Amino acid sequence: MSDSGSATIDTQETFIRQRHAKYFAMCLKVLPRSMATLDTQRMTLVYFAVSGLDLLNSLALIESRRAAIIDWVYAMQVLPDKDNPGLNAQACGFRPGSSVGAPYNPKCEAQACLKHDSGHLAMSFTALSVLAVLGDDFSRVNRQAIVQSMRALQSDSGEFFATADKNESDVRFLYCACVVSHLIKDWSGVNKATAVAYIKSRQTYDGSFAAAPGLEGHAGYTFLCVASLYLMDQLDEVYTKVEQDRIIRWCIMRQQTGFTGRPGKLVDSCYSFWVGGTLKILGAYDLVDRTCLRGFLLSTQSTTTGGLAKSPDTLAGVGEPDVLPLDAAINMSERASQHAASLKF
Amino acid sequence: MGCLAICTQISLLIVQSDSEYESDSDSETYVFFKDRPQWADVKPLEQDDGPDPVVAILYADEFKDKMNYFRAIVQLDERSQRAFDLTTEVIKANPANYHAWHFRRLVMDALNLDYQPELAFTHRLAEANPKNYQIWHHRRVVAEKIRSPSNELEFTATQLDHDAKNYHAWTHRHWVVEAFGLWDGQLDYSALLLQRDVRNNSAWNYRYWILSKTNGLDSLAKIDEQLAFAFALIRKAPNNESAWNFVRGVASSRRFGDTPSIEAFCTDLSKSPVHYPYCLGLQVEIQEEKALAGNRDALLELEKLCDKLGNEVDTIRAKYWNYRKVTVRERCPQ
Repeated sequence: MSDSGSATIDTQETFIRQRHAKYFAMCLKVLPRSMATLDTQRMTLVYFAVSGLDLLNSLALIESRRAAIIDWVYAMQVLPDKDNPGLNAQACGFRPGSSVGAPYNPKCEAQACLKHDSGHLAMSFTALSVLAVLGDDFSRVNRQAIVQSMRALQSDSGEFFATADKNESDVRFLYCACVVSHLIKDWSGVNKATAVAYIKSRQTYDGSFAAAPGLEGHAGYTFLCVASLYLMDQLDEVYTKVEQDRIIRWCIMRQQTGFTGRPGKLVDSCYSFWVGGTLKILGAYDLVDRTCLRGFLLSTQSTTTGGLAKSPDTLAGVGEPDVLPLDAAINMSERASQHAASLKF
Repeated sequence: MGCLAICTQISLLIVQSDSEYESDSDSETYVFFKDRPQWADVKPLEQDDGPDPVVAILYADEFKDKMNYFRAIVQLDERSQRAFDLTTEVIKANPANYHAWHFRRLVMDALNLDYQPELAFTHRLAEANPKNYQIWHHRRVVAEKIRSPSNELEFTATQLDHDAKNYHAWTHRHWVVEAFGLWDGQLDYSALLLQRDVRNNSAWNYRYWILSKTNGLDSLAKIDEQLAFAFALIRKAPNNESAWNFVRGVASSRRFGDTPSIEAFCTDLSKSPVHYPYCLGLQVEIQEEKALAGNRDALLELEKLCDKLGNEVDTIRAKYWNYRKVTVRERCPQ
């Protein structure tokens, strides 16, 4: 249908599950020095590796390190100041790693807060997801502090800033706030009315969603907007079935063999998640040509090191037999999602 | 934070050769902070990763050295020239360090430093890291601080010359045009980019945005003018989804019945012996509008179009075209 991605796909290729799992387990241990550019996003790396192992039904590979990983994640929690909790009431949540210089505090004991130390919404989202996937009971999570900080991170226009210093803000962080609220089962940190208006203003003329009003629609932002509405339980309130069909149309048009992220761009395995996940939430994933998609995804596997040329959780959507079923809206296995839902606070 | 980009990066773990890193590890010229007399009064602060670190990065010694002193200076909350210079080094080693960018601005504000030179700093960094969120964010703050669009249009145009679909560059351009009211000439810019690449969806979107912000679609005559623009480019490349979506966009405030040139254009294009899926797809929507208004012939025509798409022209979407057929039928008045 377009010029991109028209290569012949070998549908007979096999999925090398164990090699992908070893790849993730290796990433969890050490990373080469060139990865220092990801130093302020380490929590997201833990998330990709742990959640990836879960979807590959291979958590057994890191069973001996389970407690250590959980401790490390908890050590990244920014807690209210011991003597004056109001001092950093807007800065709680999880940090990306230890780069700010905080003392290692896995037991989450009250301490004096550090200067310029702040949780980051993407890290709170990924930290809680890692804990859920590893079967933790959230007993060391300061839910109240997280909710209070989230309230401060949302502006009157509905947008969410990533950190207490209020620099970056876009749909990514609203989505993170939604997953955090979903996982800790407390929505008092999100003003849904302004969040919904914020999302609606990002819908474009072709039915997709963009990072800001007037910008080009993009599969990543489309997922974030649709998933946020779904998690807020607002999707069917905001968009009629006919309007949802417009979003579905744009998503379905993304399939060439794999999916593209925007019209006229090349196929890319990561969009199998962004587009596939959106379609799953909209109840339209059955409309995808899975044979074609699976063939494309398998062709992106690295047979030497393991790993796809993008992200392997994309295969969970295709129903690969070796991959656990996915709860697309929070990008977690259904197994882990059910565990999180069963927690009592 | 590069949520969207990070899945790309993780897959490159093994093979990555990062040019920024290479230039950073020039250990022959690097003087460690502990050996710099002007830093003798500062006690470096190591990061504490616990007894069993996860995703432990094997930092280069230079990287660790800079970060140890950066951590220390942040905890001292020292807003000084040397702190500013340190952020330059830390950011060069890791342009995604949002913490260092923020502290840099705090220092600049405290010392009342000129933001103008930051344009050159971000320009150099953006060349090596065109998709880094923090660099573009800083660039916006700089333009806000100096209250001038300065050469932002030119800067983004240069970035778009390298990658005409760079989402960050477009985001910045949209912002600067709106914040400083630089609407003049932008329609021509979109036409120029479409002349270079008619499939540039970013440029089509930009055109639509400029029109919608400058009363460019507020009459049927103006809509027809834009439709004519799109039709001419569709004739050159009929399988261009972006152009067809633009047609939908400019006509979206009206019914297809009010803009008959669209149906006429599709009908004419359909006379070709080659079947164009996007053309047939838009015809489905035109027939849908009529069918929902009670036109039974239109429903039959729509069903024929969906069958043709699903069975012959656009078979990868066979299930979708069947879904369309079924849903429209259900929604039609009985």
